[in-house]
Amino acid sequence: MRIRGLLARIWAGLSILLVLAVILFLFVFIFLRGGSVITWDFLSQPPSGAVLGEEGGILPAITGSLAFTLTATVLGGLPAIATALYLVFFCKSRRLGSLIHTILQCISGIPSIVLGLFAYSFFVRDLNWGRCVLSASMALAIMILPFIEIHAEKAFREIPRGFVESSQALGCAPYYTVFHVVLPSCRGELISGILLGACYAMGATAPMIFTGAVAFATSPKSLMQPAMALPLHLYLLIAQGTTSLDRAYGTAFVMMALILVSNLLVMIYTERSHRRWIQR
Amino acid sequence: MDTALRIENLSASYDGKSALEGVSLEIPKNRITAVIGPSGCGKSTFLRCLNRFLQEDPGAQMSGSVELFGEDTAKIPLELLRRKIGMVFQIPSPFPFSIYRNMTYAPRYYGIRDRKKLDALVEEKLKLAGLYDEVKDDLNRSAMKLSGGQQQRLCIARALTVDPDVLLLDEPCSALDVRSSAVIEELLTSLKQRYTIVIVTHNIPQARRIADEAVFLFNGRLTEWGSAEQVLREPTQTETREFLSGVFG
Repeated sequence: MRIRGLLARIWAGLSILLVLAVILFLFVFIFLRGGSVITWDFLSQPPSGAVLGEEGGILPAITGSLAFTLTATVLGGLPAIATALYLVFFCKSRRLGSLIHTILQCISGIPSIVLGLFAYSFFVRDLNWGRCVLSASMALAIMILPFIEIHAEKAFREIPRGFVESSQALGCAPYYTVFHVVLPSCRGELISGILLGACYAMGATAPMIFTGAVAFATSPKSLMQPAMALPLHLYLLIAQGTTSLDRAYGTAFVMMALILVSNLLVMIYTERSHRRWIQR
Repeated sequence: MDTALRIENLSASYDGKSALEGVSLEIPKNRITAVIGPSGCGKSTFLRCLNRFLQEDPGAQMSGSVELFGEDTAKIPLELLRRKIGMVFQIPSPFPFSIYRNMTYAPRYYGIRDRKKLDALVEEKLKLAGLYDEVKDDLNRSAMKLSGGQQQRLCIARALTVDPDVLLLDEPCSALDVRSSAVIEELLTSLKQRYTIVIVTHNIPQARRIADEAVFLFNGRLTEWGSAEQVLREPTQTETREFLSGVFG
């Protein structure tokens, strides 16, 4: 038994080391390759050059990516949380509950390129929205909806039953319980679930290619115009061959840093707001 | 003696499986009624029928009638019924925010916004629950930082904030130590001047100490009910006698 325990600990320790090493290697590798191109101009200028992206920066790609991600997160996050709330607190029929779960599983299994194709034919062509931030964000929203829903549902199910029962026993309506007990008490988990969904959307390329992301555009000023996106820009830079490879690494690094920084900010915010919330 | 709750032919089931069958009895006003019986005999189910809490469980069904001061509870809007019949659960479950916010949670829902009124209400109910002196210096402290016994008293005080007529308690001391239980027992005895109390308990000595009336349930049926003195000390039914003497439990 002692040997087994020791083996398990060694295995766990090695696994953690391996994961950390991979992440660290990834960051260092990308930073070493792309770090030299990261200047203020790179972050604040649009791309230029005979072969686009060879010179200039990636500003419209950053703002475009943020626009896609934010819109998709709002469009996907709200129904995802509403679905999770319904399943955990309001759905009385087990059959309906399992039907909704099956549908969510089916959505999460759809390849992202197929979602892109669907969004292209439905939003871009049938609804005539054209290639724009909204069309692409709809595709991304469908993609991240089950992802956020699963996180939110898990968070809701982990709330002690006593919280909800106590509120019900005081005669408070379900909406009051949801807004004053349920959502605040799992705010941290909810925000981190939404953020993970947002990061997933930020890194996705396939759903945007046909629907809203383009090789060159200015920073988006409306949801109804196309925009650049970091992952597509990265793809195009790599596709151009060796001339823009450093800039491709620089773009990748910016993308990773964006995700990491937003994760950190949200973690700090959640921790602080939770402390304030307890005090109120 | 006025009757607070008149229960007639009350039955309940979970997913078609019977948990309570044809229970009829009366619960007198301003008394402590203890509901006792072996595990799984339907004590908690019985309690949950009184304020229609059972309907929160998707698979549960109840039939029969419960009257609160002569009014059929099925006809009282749910929100009002839950205000009139408060409930405290086995595991203390204060909301994860401050003591003050726990206490004003329901009053705010029912429209009290005036800070002075809320302050007065918080003080009055915390005093009733015997908790005020212990927490008055820091009402903004998280309720989760209170001890188990204090948390349960906070839950009782919180249930009192909506001015119920009846207070239902489902084994409120089972998760507490002897000392905290004693404090709660004392509190319940003092509260019966103003409220009708129905307590489910597994603890026979506790029932003997605080109950005026006792109800013995066995396999979902009412076996015996009457004054605590009679049911707990001189039971007439064999099951009650065997249960009290520890043959089963």
